[in-house]
Parts: sequence; C-alpha cells; structure tokens
Amino acid sequence: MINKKLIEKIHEDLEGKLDTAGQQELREQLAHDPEATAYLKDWQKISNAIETAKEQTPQIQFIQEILNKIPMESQAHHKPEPLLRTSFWNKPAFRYSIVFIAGVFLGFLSFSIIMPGSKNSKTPSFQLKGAMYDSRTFDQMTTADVLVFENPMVKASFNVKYSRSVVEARITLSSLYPVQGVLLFDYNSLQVMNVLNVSVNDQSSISASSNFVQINNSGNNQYVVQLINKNSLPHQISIKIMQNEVPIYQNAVTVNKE
Amino acid sequence: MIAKDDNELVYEVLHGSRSSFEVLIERYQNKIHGMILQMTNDREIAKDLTQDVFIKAYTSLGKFNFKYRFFSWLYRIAINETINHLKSRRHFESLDKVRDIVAEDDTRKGIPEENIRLKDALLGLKDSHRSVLLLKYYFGLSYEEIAETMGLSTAKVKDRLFNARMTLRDKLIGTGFFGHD
Repeated sequence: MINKKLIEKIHEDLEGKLDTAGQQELREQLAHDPEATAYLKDWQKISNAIETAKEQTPQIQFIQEILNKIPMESQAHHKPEPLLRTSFWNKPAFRYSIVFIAGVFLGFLSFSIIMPGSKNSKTPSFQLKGAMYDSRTFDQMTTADVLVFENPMVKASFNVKYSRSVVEARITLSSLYPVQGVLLFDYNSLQVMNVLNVSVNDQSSISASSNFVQINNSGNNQYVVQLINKNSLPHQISIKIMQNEVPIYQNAVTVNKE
Repeated sequence: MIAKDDNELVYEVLHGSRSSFEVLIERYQNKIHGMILQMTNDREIAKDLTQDVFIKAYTSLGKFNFKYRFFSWLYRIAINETINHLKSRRHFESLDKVRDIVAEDDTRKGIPEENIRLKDALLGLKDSHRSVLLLKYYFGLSYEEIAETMGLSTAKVKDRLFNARMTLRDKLIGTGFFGHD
C-alpha cells in the first residue's frame, strides 16, 4: 500500500509545485518504493491524456444562443445584496426582528382598541344575553351619579356608572312596606343586558322590558342592573320610587357625559 | 483596460447590464462546456447543458452570495446539472450501452484510443469522484477552491481526491491504458 503523503507529493511534483529540494527528496523515496514509482508513471500518463483531452475539446461560442433564451429585462427588478455589509442595521435578521416586534406591538394595540369598551365596536348582544357581564370593572367605570333618598319609610341609593359599552346601576332599597323602583330609558340608546338580585328576600323581584326595569321591593335588598350602552351620546335614565302607585321620589342621571 | 472582477460583473448584471453577462458567458463557456463534455461524452447534450447552466445561473443570480467567488458558484451549478442529467439518463439506458455508443462515436471521429479509455473510466466513476477529478484536472482548481465549489472541507477534498485517483487508476489498469497490464 502506497503512503498517502507520498502520493500527495507525487501529485505536487506532477503539477510542478515541488522545489528542487522536494524533487530530490521524492526521487530518493521513489528509489526504494517500486510501487510508488509505478504509480507516478501511471499518473504521468493519465495527466498527459487529460491534457490531450482538454486540447481536443472544441472551442464554442454560445453567447447569442444563451442570451436569446433568457429574459434580460427581468434581472433589472432584482435588488442585489450590497457587496459589503458594513452595518449591523443592514443585517436581515435584525431587520426581520424589528418587523416582528413592531407586528406584535401593533397586534396588541389593535386588540386593545377592538376590545369591549371601544367607541367604534358594537358589543355583540348574543354574547351578553343571559350571562352576567364581568362587573369587576365597576370600580374603573365613570360615575354618572350617586342618588340617595331617605324618608322614615324608605331608604334608597342608586350608584350609576358607565363605560363605553356598559351602563351599570347598583341599587340598594330598604323599605318596611312594598315599594317599586323604576328605571326608565330610551331603548334606542340603552338595552337591558342583565338584571340581578344580589341579595333579596321572597317578597322582592326585579323584571325588565325594552325601555324600563322594575323592582318590587320589600325589606332590605340589593340589585344590579346592566344595560348595553349603544352609543356614546349622552342619555338620561329616569329613576322613580313609588308607593301604592304614587311617586315618592323621582330623579334622573346622565350617562356618557363627556 | 483592466478586466472587471467576476463579482463586479454580477453586480452590474443585477442592475440590468446585458453586456456584463455576456462577459461572464465569454469567460466561462468553454470551461463549462469542456467539463460537461468530459462528463457526458455527448456534444449535443454538452451544448444544451452548458446553455442551461448559464440560464439557471442568470435566473438564480439574485440568490448569489457575494462572499463567495462566482466561478465556484457557477461550477457547482454545472456539476449539479450534469449529475442530474446523468442520473436521469441512467434511468433509461444502461451504462454499458452509453459506453458503447460513446466509444463508437469517438472512434469514428479519430479520437486516440487512450482518450477513449480515459473517458470510459471517468464515466464509470462515482459522480463525487468524477466531479472532484474534473475540478482538479480540468479546471485546475486548488484544494481550497474545490472545497468552496463542492461545499466540503479541504481535508475532505484531499481525502476524496485520493480515493478518486486510486479508483481511476485501478479502472484504467484493466483496460490496457498503461500498456504494462
């Protein structure tokens, strides 16, 4: 088996890359290695044949044929890479990451705008009917008014707040005898979403229609009324407390004041 | 006038210069054609494949990475196109039949017998061995340039070239190429 390094040296010699000292050294090595000598002779012949084959290869001229086959004008649309990238800012990875971050930011921005509470978005009623709207945001809502009424027979408070999509009234009624509380509003502007007895006894109830909510109260009770705020125009909600069909208190609150 | 560097010409082609691409074709057409002819042994196919290589190079020029040398990129396209062609041809014809046709064709055109045997032996090599031998002996590339062209390390190129040389010699020994066998 011929030494791999010796073969490497033989080929360097065939390519004329060995200096005089290298050639001398090779000759000495070959003198003791007939197998390597045979290899050298064989490869001299192969190299000559390759050179001959190269010389016999016909010279060709395909320029016009090639140019006729390619749509030259299409190349003008390519934006070539710069010959040298000098700046960190020019690196595609950096540019793509900037675009990605900007995309995520815009996504969050759009989401926060489209979320309930947006002026332009209409809250789909089918998602809200029959379900208690998350009133944990009550504290964050804008206060329309807090009405308090008190006489020897009845104590009442109406805490009304609103956001861009919801109006919520938290009502406390305390009466020894049956009284009715009524909230009246324009159905073009507000729509009943939820009415809830938070803490009531058997003699009390709350019901709703298209333009009013009625409470029949007896004892100490608390109610929550949630209305869909259909637009951002100011609306009035009229509030009455009646006893034996006779109003004993009447007032109004305005939502969407700003 | 100083001849423009390949990469400068590529840059100009990308900006729509027709004449720059002409210069690149002029510069490499004979080497590409010669190499393909050695690998395929068919002048018509070599002509078609040479044209295909330049057309492919032109259409893919937007993907060319300027940190490499143009010729190594172009030779790689040429080698891939040729190997793909040989593989598809082998699908339809047996290699022996190809050799017979080639030998018959070469003899008719007065090509020396030893060149026919050399081509025959080259045809019988693995694609990877034939490619590395042609890049070395036909294009005269250095180990580093072959490594860049074939996407290999220099050590791997040396190793592959060693095996290819051995295999080519072994194949030729049985054919009477050297006269001593």
